[in-house]
Amino acid sequence: MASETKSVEELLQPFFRKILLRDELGIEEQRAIAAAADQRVRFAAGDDLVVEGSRPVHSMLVADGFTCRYRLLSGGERQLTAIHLPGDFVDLHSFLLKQMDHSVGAMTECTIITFPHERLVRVTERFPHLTRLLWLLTLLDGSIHREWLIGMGRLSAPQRTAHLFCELYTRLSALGLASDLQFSLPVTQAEVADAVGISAVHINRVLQEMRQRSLISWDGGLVRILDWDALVEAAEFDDLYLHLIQEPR
Amino acid sequence: MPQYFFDVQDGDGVFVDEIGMELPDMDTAIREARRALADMVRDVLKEQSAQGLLIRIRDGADGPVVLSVTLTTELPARDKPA
Repeated sequence: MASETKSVEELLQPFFRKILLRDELGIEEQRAIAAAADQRVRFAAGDDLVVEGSRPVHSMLVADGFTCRYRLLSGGERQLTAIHLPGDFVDLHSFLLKQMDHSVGAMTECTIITFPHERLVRVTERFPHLTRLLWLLTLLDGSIHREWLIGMGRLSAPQRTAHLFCELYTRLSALGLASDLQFSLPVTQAEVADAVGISAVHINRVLQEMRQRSLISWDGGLVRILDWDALVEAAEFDDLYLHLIQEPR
Repeated sequence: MPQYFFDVQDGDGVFVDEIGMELPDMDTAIREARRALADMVRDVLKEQSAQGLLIRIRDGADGPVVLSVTLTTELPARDKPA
């Protein structure tokens, strides 16, 4: 894979872009993060990166691929609570929470960079602004969780599904990983159902309706948004919660 | 495992399942359909015109098995003015 020959700095580009959308990131800060990186690990779709109940000694950052935060319920049902894209520091939570209260799984083949917690401790001791940026990242996780919670409580299943497509396109295009209202989504319908909290049977009906209304098409792992304005309106989507404004933090 | 198809009929029309799901047996398929009805009923009943909804489970052998939820509105009888 190409990711095996890339330097750590190259693998960290989506992460740097994620921060640079919202603030500045000095060259010393970029070097400090790169120096704290340890291993790169490949995961296959369906693998777990971290398991609920475990006590990881390093945090993980997604260099490429999609991962998700999830919980399994006693009846075997699964609920996703977030979808992570390249550049997401998915497991910064374990750095301070210590014991995992959820699992993180690979939705596609992906490359992960690990950051030993003791190195992150040293980074936070030396770089106060970078520390605030790491804090900002977990706040962004929180704002996305809030948005999903509002959706689960108050939006209909078609609205939540439309919202998810709006969110994924907005986040991917902000990173330069999608354009022209289309993006690669090589996951199953059942995984999208687990993200919006409905059954596999229901998601099939929801997606068919979205196709019939010419909102989106989703074939061969490629999502095409056919009418952005209508999709945004259906989803009541407002990207404020993604905080895509560059300002000093 | 056999393939089961779940067609959905509601106020917006009939949605024919062309993908289907591999499930061990019809009992599991019925459980899956009941879960789907439970999700769907929340959205469907909010629509003013909703009369209910129906899932038809198709497989190669048995069936089709039909599960449906019907909404009825019963208004209290009012005394007619004399």
